[in-house]
Amino acid sequence: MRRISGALILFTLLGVSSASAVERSVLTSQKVNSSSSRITVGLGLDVRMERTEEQTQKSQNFSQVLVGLERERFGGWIEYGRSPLLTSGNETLKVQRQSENILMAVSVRANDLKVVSPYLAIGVGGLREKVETILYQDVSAEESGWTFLGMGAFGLRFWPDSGYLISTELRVLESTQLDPNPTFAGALHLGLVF
Amino acid sequence: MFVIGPVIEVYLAKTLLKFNRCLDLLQGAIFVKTYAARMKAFFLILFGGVITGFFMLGCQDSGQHPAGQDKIQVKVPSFHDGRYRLETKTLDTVHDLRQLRGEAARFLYAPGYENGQLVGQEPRLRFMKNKDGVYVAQDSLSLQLITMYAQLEELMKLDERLGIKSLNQWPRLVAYNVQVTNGDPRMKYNNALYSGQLDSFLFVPYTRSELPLAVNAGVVAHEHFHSLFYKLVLKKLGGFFVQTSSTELHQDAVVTSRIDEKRSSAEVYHVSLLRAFNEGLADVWGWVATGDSDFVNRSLGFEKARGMDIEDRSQIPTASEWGEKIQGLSMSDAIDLSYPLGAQYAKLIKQTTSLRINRSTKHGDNQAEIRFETAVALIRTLAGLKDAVAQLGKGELLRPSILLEILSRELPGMDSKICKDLSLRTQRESAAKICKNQKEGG
Repeated sequence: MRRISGALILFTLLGVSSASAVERSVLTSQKVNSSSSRITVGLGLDVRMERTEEQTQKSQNFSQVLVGLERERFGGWIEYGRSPLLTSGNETLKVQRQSENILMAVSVRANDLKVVSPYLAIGVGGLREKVETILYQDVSAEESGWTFLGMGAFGLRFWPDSGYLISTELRVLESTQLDPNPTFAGALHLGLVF
Repeated sequence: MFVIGPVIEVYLAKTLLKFNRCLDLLQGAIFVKTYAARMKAFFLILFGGVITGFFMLGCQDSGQHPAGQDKIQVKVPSFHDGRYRLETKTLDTVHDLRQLRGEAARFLYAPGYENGQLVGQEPRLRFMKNKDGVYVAQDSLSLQLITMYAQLEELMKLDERLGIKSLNQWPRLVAYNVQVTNGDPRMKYNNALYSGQLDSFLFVPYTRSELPLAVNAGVVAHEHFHSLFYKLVLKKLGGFFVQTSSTELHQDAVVTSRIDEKRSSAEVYHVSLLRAFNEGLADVWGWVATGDSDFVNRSLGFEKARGMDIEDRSQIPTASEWGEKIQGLSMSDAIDLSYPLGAQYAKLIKQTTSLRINRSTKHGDNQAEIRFETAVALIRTLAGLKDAVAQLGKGELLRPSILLEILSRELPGMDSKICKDLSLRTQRESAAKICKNQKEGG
């Protein structure tokens, strides 16, 4: 986790310094096309593998909502995802669990491909668990704190210059709350670009 | 006033001018005109987000048990004041929460059987830490196993207090979700057993809608007592007693694969009688360790008759009566009859102890301490029982009432009224031996 965080900090520092260098070099030419930044809004589905009670692995679907900003090859977004309510046990003793996550991600893609454009993305965020334990008529609802969540992804953006957000991703998620950790996931995003 | 007023006005004017200049700069910052400047702003925001994320999220406890820290708090079902409820318990001996390893128990999930041993993988469990730092199970398997661990830790402490901890090897091995592929089909579901040969607890899948067996503290204590009975009586006696040391909670599920059906009538008699002793005392142990006198019914509702508070005024059979009952039966059929007799013993011992409790609590004595005294007496009874069996002469049959004779001598606080009540439940041949300090040769 420390390595990932350190890498992210280094990445952003490099980004700041390189952008500053570019800014200084073009400071005299003030005219910039400011209208090419676009806002993205969409829904998504994140399918990730999880260990079950039976000690096998099973896919788990996270519904997502995301909002982002993109300009040419660069983009960034914030997404919120939530799993369905998972129930185990019997009528007398039952455990219900739900996970949610927030992720802030940035991406860079190939700019010259008009139909299918691959991209790389990294993100950081948090994962939180909610558990409800029911024993006879007693109900105990518990919530964890936010746990660090890291993400790396390779994706494909379809018709990137259109007014639609259509992308698929293969993700690697890292969090000590995940089992297995890291977890592989597939994501699909659909939305609009303004 | 005329001097101070203008001074204040000049000061305020200069301040406002500085404020306007700040506003201009801020306005300039908002409308960033270069692409590179926007990207710099973007990365600065991301940098801030990463730093914030690192400090706010990266140092959060993941819910994984910190290495080297043995005391943890967990939320588990616990029997208290007549019912099960979710309570926070402190566990002192857990080393690894995710795979639930510690001094009290270790677990195997759906293990196989090879070369006389259970082989398989330890389950990986799922916990989260709530805002109070208490670990909460995130699925039913994790909840059941952590509850069982908590119960075994309590039983380990009880054994330590009784001076018998070294009888068993700790951590105890528990096989969960045991898949029975051959043998009696009634063994496949809704049962728990202790195997003396494997020195393990075996829990087959629980499919009923009641309290799962693994969570039932009385059941875990009942099975644990079988290990004490095995170590203190059966194993010391050796021979055919050892071969029938797999005992179960549920009477309809009998392990037959290890029982040699070709036995003499005396062997069938003694094995079935000892099984009755084992089951009856194990039920009492379930109550002594947890305070729950109806634990069987909580998970196996069809076993209502085993509730220890159900009054039973019937008499313990004589040796000849028991011999007649099992006459001509196979070993497995005779063992089937052991369970009702065991339930009879359990009710009798519980009722006797309740009389002691009623008398003692009037003087302010603690119920838990009286149950502890009963536990001490039960352990001493096992030693006496082993001696009684070992001293049997050729052709001699063990009296069914001998269990009560030995126990009555070991239980403290047995006044004349309690002794008389107990003696009325045994046959005339044994009545005089209740509460008497004399050596019994069988």
